[in-house]
Amino acid sequence: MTDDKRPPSEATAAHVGQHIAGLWCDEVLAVLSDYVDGVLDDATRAQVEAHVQECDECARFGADFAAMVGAIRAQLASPPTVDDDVSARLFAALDLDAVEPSR
Amino acid sequence: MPDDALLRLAAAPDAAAFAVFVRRHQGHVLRFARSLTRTPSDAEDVLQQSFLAAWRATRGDTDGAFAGTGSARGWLLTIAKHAAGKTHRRRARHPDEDASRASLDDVDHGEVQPQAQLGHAAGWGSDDDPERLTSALESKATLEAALARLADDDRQVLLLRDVEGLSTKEAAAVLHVQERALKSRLHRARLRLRAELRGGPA
Repeated sequence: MTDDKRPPSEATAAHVGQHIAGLWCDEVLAVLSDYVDGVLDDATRAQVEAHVQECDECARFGADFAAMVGAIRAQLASPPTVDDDVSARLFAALDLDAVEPSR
Repeated sequence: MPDDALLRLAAAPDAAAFAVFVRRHQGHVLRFARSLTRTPSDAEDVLQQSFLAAWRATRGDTDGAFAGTGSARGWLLTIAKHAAGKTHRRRARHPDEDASRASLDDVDHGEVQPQAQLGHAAGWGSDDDPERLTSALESKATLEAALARLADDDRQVLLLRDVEGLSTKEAAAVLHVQERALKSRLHRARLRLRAELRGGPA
């Protein structure tokens, strides 16, 4: 875990990350959405899982992030109700009755 | 009846079948239209233009009928994005009415905000109170308010992927960006939403 020297960058200046399972904390952060969406390759996914086993910070933030993504879907899946007058104007604009099935 | 079967019926043309399709999707199209426009009347205009274009295409009067690949929702929202572009161009001829929205159609703003900075704002590396965060996620109103405070680009990508559930490929097609760009936009948008939820009322 101490074999890797992080090149200086803004990211390391701003964050005290740990290098665990071949990933720095900010590298875990970078792939969190891919992890939550299930589109990481197997090797990287295994690295992320090994990292969060040992890194409480990433485990906490990752769980929190995943919960948020799940909550958006769960809470907002049903769309807003369309006001009757808006819907009526939509159907008036479409003028569906003007079209007769071809026979 | 599934959307694809309904649209095959509607192609006859069958107005009743299309009416069922409209009722099923109008709320979703209106929600996305609101994220694409500034005023309720523009959103309603986009709603109407979207279903008019979808109906013409379904009847075969124009190209672009639902191809049966991907979801009908993705097809409709692509039409809505296009309709919103037309509304903006019409507005652009009257710039006084719409001076504030010049950048919406820019495909990308070349954002350079470092991800770690977004992460910190989202609570990465901080010891937030988990109870407060959990209660924010349980409130639909809090989530909606946080979404509403995001920039248009962020809100649109979250709506398409996380709310409407479009695939990366479909959402990228709606917004006319590469899948890779879509994924990176989505990640930044989620981090910004997280930051809004930290700052918002618990």
